[in-house]
Amino acid sequence: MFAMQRESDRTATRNETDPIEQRAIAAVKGGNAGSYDYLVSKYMKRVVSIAWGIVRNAHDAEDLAQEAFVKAFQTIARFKPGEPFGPWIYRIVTNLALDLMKHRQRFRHEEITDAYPAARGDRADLPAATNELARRIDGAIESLPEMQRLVARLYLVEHFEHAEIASMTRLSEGTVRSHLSLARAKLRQRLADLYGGTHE
Amino acid sequence: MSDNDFLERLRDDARQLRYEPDAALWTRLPAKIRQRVALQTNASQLLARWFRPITASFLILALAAALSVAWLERGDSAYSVEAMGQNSMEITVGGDTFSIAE
Repeated sequence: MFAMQRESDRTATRNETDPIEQRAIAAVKGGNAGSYDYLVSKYMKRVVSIAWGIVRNAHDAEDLAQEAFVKAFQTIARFKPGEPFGPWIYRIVTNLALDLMKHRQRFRHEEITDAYPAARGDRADLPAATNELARRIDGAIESLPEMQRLVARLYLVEHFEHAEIASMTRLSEGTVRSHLSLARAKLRQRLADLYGGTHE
Repeated sequence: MSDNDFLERLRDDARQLRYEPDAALWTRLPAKIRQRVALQTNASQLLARWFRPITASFLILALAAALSVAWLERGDSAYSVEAMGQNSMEITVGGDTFSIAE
């Protein structure tokens, strides 16, 4: 059975070496599929949250998380020993979610612009306890162009650092900083009544 | 407020936007993953289970075929001209024995 492990944000975000995790990876590589439970229970909450942040749909987020973990299991032989599992599974789920969005956009022939960001799910899946401030922030982030939105969400909501976001999105750290800077300027403008304008 | 202060305050406030799925997901999702992983494992084990005996059978057949061909070729060589030339032969005609040697 999966042990329900409510990992702290710190352990799931930072690339710390976890000896139990390393043993689990080695066991899975050696053919013990049961040891994969530990990795799933440790990272699934974050993986689902990342997927949901991109697709904004609970059902799709769950399917993407499932696909990401199965894909990671299939290719675990290529996983470098000693590396933390987190960044790898986060990268897989981010790529799967972005691929899904691109596929849907192509299918719908939608054009993503500042004015008309991609239509993605709805806000029905927002946490129930979300207050008005959070809803305003969510709306402002959602109004950003695709890559700015992705980087802003990973930085602001998921609390990943620039290097981690670069690894997950296969962008350079400089590009991540650039997207975040552009996003910050737009968010500051759109949330000026809550946080004050640039010149305050 | 500086840009950095704004970003840090926004980061604190945006944290509550992290997705919180229904509690059932934490048992449903691992169960689905476990099922898919088990299927993968079973498929590879099944392949390995069939692949090894089939490979062994083919190897045995190939070895038997190679040995048979070698044996046949060896048998044929006894009747070749060279083989007859190398072995002495004795022919008896009318009580006299003649020997044909190299």
